[in-house]
Amino acid sequence: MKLDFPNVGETLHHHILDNGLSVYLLKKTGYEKTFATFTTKYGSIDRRFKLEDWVEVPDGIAHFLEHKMFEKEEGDIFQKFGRQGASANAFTSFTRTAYLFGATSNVRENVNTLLDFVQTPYFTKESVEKEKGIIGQEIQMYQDNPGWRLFFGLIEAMYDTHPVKIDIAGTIESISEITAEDLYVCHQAFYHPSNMALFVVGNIEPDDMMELIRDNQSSKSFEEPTLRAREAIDEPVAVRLAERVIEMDVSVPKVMIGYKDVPQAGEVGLKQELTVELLMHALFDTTAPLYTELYAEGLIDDAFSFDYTSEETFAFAALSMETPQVDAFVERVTSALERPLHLGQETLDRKKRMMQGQFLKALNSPEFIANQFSRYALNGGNLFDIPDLIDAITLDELYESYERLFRHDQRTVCIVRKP
Amino acid sequence: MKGIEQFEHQLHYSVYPTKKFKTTTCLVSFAAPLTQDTVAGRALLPFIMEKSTATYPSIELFHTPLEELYDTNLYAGASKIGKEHVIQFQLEVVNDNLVGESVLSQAIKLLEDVLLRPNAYDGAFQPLIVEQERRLQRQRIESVYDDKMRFAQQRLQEMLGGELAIPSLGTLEQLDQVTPKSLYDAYQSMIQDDRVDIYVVGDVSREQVEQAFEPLESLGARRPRHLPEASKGEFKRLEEHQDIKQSKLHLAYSLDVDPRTEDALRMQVVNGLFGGFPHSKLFMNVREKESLAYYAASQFSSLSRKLFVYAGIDSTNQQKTEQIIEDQLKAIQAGDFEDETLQQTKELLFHQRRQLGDNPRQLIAWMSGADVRPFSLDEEMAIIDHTTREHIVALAKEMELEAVYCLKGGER
Repeated sequence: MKLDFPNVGETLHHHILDNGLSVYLLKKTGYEKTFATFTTKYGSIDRRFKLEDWVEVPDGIAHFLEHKMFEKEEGDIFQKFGRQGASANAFTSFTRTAYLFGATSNVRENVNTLLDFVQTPYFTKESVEKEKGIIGQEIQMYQDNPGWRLFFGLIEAMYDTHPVKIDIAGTIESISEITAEDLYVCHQAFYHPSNMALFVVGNIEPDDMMELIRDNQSSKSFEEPTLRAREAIDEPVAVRLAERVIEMDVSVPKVMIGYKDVPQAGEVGLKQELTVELLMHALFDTTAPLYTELYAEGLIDDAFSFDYTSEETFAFAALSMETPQVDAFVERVTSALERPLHLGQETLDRKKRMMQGQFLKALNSPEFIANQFSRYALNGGNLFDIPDLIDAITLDELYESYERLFRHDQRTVCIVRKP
Repeated sequence: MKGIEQFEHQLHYSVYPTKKFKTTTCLVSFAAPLTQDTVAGRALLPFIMEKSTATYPSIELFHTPLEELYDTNLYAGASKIGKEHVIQFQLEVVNDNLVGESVLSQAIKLLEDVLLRPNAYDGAFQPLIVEQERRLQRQRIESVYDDKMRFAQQRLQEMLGGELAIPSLGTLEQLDQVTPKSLYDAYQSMIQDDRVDIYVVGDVSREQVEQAFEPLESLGARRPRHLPEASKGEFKRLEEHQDIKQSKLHLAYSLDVDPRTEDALRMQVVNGLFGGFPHSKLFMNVREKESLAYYAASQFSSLSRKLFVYAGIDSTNQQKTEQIIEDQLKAIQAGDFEDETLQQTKELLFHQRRQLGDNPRQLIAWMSGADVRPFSLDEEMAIIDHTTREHIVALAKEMELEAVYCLKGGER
């Protein structure tokens, strides 16, 4: 099938600066807002790495560092963005930390502020201690969230040694050990420009913006990168535990069924991600035979969702549902996935059209473009390859993915229910 | 917003033609007065209507053409907005020129099908579907318990009474009273008696919109908008316990400000100083200075004329946190805030308004709210810009604490 997308109607500018920083600029005609993300390939899984020697840092430190970057000798950077009319934020994931702002005025000042504050570490003993109370409350808040407990319960049961199983924010005990010195070490190791990507999208003139970024970066000096290696992770493809039950005071039981996959990096990883996503759409969308069957029996409904997580060193599919009939749901879904796959060309073609549409719709959002593009770029892929990669997916590839992924020993079931 | 065209036939239209998006978004909104008797049925209705039609009588049959049409989204949902109950049908379609097919006209036919040809016979929806969806709705009502922030806010609103106390999905008892027949009556009433507004944002012209929605022109009735009156009860306090790690402290302040006035907009400045932003007094003091919370914020609901405060804290710090919150309001009432902070608040309120036009759904949400407010976006920004210290102090002094709710965890 040929999909006629003359283009997605976007032009991307890309430069790698002398200091190694990757800069991506995309003009969105007619948009009022400019949105920028400054992302480092550093997340919660980077807990052991080699500088001169191997270093091990407390769990939750990447997230802690993200919080502390906003506090400077001159004051709180949130306030500075606010005075410049920008709304700033940041997030830490398993593999990345991103700092971002959206602004409809003072865009040049805000881009400079973003670059400067992320590249200027300033940590004191007092401010580190103070943050422990705030992050402690953040951890407690997530502890009361059944969805979060379910997700981490699943990953924790699936993985043997991979640090993905550790909560991104760490624990109240682990963060109590964090010191200002630890933060400086991590900043120096992972916030080097060569480990980062800057994405600016929206109401910009790419040439002017590029010049501003060059000027900003050439006015600073950076030492050679200190990071020599990240810990290699030796993780079997079989899961650690087949089942895990978390007791919590919830009104409706919640369940996640996870299937651990073999991770892939770069363009291959992106291709695998899209193939598995398409496969999951074909298997679990409301139009799928399994859905129709389970819906008629009252075992599946709007609360059902599915997702595929794919990074360089870990990948897994997760199906999520809340229902009083958790056991029946699990039994029906898992036994269906043990049967051979039956999928025709017609379904493949329809799912392709569907995924092409989803991608085009997502391009309305500057936030989607900047966040997802940075994610792929730091993993060695290109977001705008997606339409072609979807187009190229074959039935054989879907069958291969099905065989590889939905195996009994790669499956974990995690349930949150009342004691 | 410049470029929004508004016109009326039987229905009321707001159209924003633009080429900047990859999609065209349409929203058809049905509004009726919010009442205890009708809320459960009306809240259930959209979940049934969005899943099948007489032409496509199952989820599978109905969703297949939506997938074919490049993942066209057709969602229905219900919400309470002030004194009204609103059922909305939203259509989001990839632009024809990106895929070289006429997707929009086919998608609008499916929307028409949902609205005009529901999956119902002999004056009743399908009993099996109604039972299925009733069971799900019950689960949705019960699962509010699992989201502690929502749970606490709902309890606080119940304490306040009036429209705020009516749960948006209705109660379990009300839900049990719904029948396939009563639901069909609710549908009939919706299409005949509700006020119908249509919003379109995307690569379309007024003429195209008029033509596309012509089949819906027989729907609805002219109805005035219902705005809540000012209400203020006696001060109330309630504490409840659950087995949770973090306590949820929720407060409600009431004040008598008509949502159609300049003062209602100026209240956004007051809210911005108090708890609306990361530079606000609540965030700076409860979180940054005292390390008591991860979040401590406020929100002003102009339609209900209440300002809500919420914080997630350790149960041992409840009194201390309440005192700090009270002190912050007193500070604003005393004019104790920097000019720079005031300017920063205004800048962020401008930013929120300027960026509206970059997101079709946000833009539509603003367009529908703007029907209540008599101001254009530029006028709104001018009012915010000209809000003075005196305005702020006077409004802050009108705020009266009406209710405090705390959902407590930890040791009893």
